[in-house]
Amino acid sequence: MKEKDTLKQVLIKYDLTLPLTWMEKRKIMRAKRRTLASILAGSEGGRARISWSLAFYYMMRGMGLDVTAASGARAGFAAAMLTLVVVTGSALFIVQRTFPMQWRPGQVEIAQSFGDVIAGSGTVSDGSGRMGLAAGGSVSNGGIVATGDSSAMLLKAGTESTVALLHNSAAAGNRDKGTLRIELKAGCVLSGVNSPFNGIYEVITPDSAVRVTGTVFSVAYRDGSTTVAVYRGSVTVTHLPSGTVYELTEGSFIESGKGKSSRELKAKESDLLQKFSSAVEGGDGAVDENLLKELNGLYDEAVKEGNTKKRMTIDDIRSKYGGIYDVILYSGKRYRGAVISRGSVTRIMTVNGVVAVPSNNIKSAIPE
Amino acid sequence: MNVRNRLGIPETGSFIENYDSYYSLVFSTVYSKISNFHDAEDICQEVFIRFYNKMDEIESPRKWLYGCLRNVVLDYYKEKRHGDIDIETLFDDIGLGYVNGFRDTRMMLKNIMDEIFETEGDRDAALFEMIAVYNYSFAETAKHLNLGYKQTRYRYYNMASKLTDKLREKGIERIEDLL
Repeated sequence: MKEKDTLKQVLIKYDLTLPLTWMEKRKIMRAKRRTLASILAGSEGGRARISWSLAFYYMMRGMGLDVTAASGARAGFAAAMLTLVVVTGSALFIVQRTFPMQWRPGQVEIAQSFGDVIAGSGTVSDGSGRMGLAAGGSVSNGGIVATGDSSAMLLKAGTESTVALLHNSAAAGNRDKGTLRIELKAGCVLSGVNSPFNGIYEVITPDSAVRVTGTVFSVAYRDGSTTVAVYRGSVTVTHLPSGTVYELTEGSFIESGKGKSSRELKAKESDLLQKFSSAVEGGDGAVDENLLKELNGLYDEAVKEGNTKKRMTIDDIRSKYGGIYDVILYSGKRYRGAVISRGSVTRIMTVNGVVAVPSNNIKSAIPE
Repeated sequence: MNVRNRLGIPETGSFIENYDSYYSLVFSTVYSKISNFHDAEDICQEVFIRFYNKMDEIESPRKWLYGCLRNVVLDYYKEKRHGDIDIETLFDDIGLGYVNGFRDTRMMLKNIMDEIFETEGDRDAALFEMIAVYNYSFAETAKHLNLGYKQTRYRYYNMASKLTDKLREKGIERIEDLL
């Protein structure tokens, strides 16, 4: 028999024990906590506060810390504040997720606009339906801004970026804290972003995302294709369907998702962005309507320039491919140029472009 | 004076330390006398409020609390119109009502325990009393007194060994001889 048990047996035998049941001991423990809170609260009230403090006091004592009731009170107060912050933050987060942020007026201020500019064409997000926009008006978060055949719009988003929406374009802007996101649905936007931009600036087209930290660039979406031109700084272009990422540096141009490397800006593209850049960096925000017309014109010329393939001369072909052939077909037709591929089909670069000829139709290919 | 901070909480931990050490013992004592849980709770509260107000003048908390609880229990019986009850009978019944013929041994054991409680620290005495008299386990005692389990066990066995030493002095070599 253990010593403890022996001693207990002795005390029981001589009727010196007053054993309590398990339940009574538990009740005593509860009464102990209750009574202490009552005593400390006394006539000053604040029993809940004292109970809360004591709970922390006992918790900290249980952790082996040498604490006083006052330390428990301070810990309780700190925990209450922390809980309040966490609960409030969580509630706000849940509310924000459940009820997306509605438009707050004045988030994107229109510095200048002209012509028949229409917002909310069919997909009104600010609840006010379709309405005309003019200088001094504002565009709501998520509101779709559209320009007509001969209009353009200049938007100033905060103090850090200026956006020109050229003609026949439609875009929706979203601004939330440090993120400014423009969803370009059609047409072209020119962006002037202060460097470094304090946050995320992004232009998203249906197939690409262009992210920047400070630059002047344009993004155009036409005929299902996104083109990006960078005048200053650098941007990251992500072709969304394929996930391909392009790093586009100053003075370069790319057609996203076409598998081609970037090229240098053409004269008109450069002129367009230079014009926009000098306008938005004027500082006073006042923009002449003629400038917007001019930007529209330059954009059209840049598009035409991009569509116009520059024809190579025979000397260009010779210098690029290293030699010229005189290719004679059985039909008697002759082509003069560089043979750029052979196989079942032979491709010949001529001054009029690339010609593909079935190889078995070729009678002779004589180098000059 | 108990210093209170801006939150109204006593800065000193001594009251809570004493409260932790003696509340369960005081409650167990009161409850074993009056057998009413709610009244026992009220009496304990009254005892510790008095203790709180006089804490700075008290040298031996255990003794003071026992003295105080006798008075409060007496007041309780008076209030309940049991004024004819003898407080000595209620608390010092060591020589009364014992029927199995070992009265002397019983009184000797009680005296030895009182001697040990007198010489050892109040808190060890309270701990021993809770385990030996009121049948608290080591774990329960540790929880009630805010102590560690091993600490509780060590202090109990320390007291138990002092008790057996005292018994030896009285000619009882082994505690089993008393069974």
